[in-house]
Amino acid sequence: MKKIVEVKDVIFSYDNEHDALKGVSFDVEEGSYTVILGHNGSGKSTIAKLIAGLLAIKSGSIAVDGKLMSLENIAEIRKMMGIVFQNPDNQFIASTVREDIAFGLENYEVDPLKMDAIIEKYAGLVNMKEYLDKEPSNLSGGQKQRVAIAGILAMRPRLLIFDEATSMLDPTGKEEIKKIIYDLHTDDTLTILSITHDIEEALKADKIIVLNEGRVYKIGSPKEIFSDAKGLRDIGLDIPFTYKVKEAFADVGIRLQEHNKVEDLVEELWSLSKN
Amino acid sequence: MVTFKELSYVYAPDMPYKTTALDRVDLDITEGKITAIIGKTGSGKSTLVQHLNALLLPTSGTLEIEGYTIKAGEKTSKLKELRRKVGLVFQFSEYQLFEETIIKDVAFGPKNFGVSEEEALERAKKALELVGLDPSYYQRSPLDISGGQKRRAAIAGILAIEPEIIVLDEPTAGLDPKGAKEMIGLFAMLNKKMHKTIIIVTHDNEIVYDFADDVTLLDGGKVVCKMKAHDFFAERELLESHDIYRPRIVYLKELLKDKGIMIPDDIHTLADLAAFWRDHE
Repeated sequence: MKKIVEVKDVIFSYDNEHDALKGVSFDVEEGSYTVILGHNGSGKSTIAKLIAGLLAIKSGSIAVDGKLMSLENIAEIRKMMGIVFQNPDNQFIASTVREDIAFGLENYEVDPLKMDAIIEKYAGLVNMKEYLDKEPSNLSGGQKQRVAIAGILAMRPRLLIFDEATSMLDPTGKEEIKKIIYDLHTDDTLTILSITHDIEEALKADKIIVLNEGRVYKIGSPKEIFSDAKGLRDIGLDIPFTYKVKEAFADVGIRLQEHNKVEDLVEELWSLSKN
Repeated sequence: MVTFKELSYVYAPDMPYKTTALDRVDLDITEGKITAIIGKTGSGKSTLVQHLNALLLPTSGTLEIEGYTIKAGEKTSKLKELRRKVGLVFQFSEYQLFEETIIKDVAFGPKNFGVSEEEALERAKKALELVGLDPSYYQRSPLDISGGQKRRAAIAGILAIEPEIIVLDEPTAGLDPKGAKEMIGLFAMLNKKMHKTIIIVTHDNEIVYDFADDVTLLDGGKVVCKMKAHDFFAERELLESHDIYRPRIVYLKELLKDKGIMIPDDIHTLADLAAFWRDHE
């Protein structure tokens, strides 16, 4: 599969004393849903900012869509990506939802006559169509994040980065955003790179990159990553709920399969109880 | 006991956009327990807890706390004494650090309440030890440490005041799983070993289920119910009607029940569930 992001031997330091990234390498496949998982301070947000060109690389290389990132081509590379940040309040810049989605389009000099149709399409995609003329003060955190996503999607990025986009939201807001991420993943021209410490979200990814102390701890499928409970706990992470159930049952001598969904786990327990 | 009696709070009462954030709240919070205040964004949780150390004063009604009575419309003396007894840790409290060094920041609270410089430093050291920041942090700038460490320093600043009641507004928001677990472990220890009353506002119902004794549910500024935490999450209709996110083990038990597999009410951990399964299924 074609690689849309290639990170090679990246070292980065904020203060020239302590390295936040100590030689990180990984690839992100085009059209995939890739998660970068790590505890606070693992370097996951730093790598996201480097990929987005918000920090300048010091050693190593990052290529996006086959082009090595440099100060010369950063503006061009950035046009193919969008980032949703952590704090919903820092991203809403206009006075209505409609104007907020329009902001990026105006910057890209989209024909004003075509703009309304584009805005409505993407507002619809994040279920915010009925809020187009509302002000940000009338919106919940999750709704503001959805508007941010619509504004970014309207610019048709090929790479969409979520930098802990759900961590400041309440449970309803978190679910809203996660559902949109999963829905967007059905579009195989869009690559989703999500930086998170939400292990339940990571369960749905195609590939997980686990960072610890500025290094890659492990890269693999959810099943490969979450089968290593001890290793993950040692680096301040945990395993998803369904894996915890499997672990607790294994402790009393009952073997269960790996499941991503509680519903599937219940089916297995039910069939066990029948036999 | 902390007692709210018919307490209402209205933001901007004389303005066209006035909002009733708390609507005739009657509520007892038991001392020595961990009480979780839950409810949707905008349900009045933060407004409620800001009454506990008189940051907000009621528009009508009364609050009795630690032997003080705060009554709407009456000037209350001794607010400072009350604030020494009730420590409030705000949401994203890490943004409130301001001193040059961490030790000075933590000692600021007790000094402000008239404790001697020497005693304040002693208390700051003790509080920093409780939150897990070792002496190598004393002289560092609060701006130079990680977000999780900043939040611990902010909490130490409240602990140094040695309050009887500790009120925490979303103390785990934005922390990673390990950070959140350590943070909650600290509050459980303060409750069990130092007998502090803990009142915690949170959206994380996994924490509520695992750590809280009691739950108070708010909706639209009104108290819907106050119950034992484990009893509360067994009330399926109540949870559904208020759109409350279930702790995963509760959801698992519900799904098993739907399949005709009954799990006893007193099973609250996966280890107990697995042991029950081994013995009965």
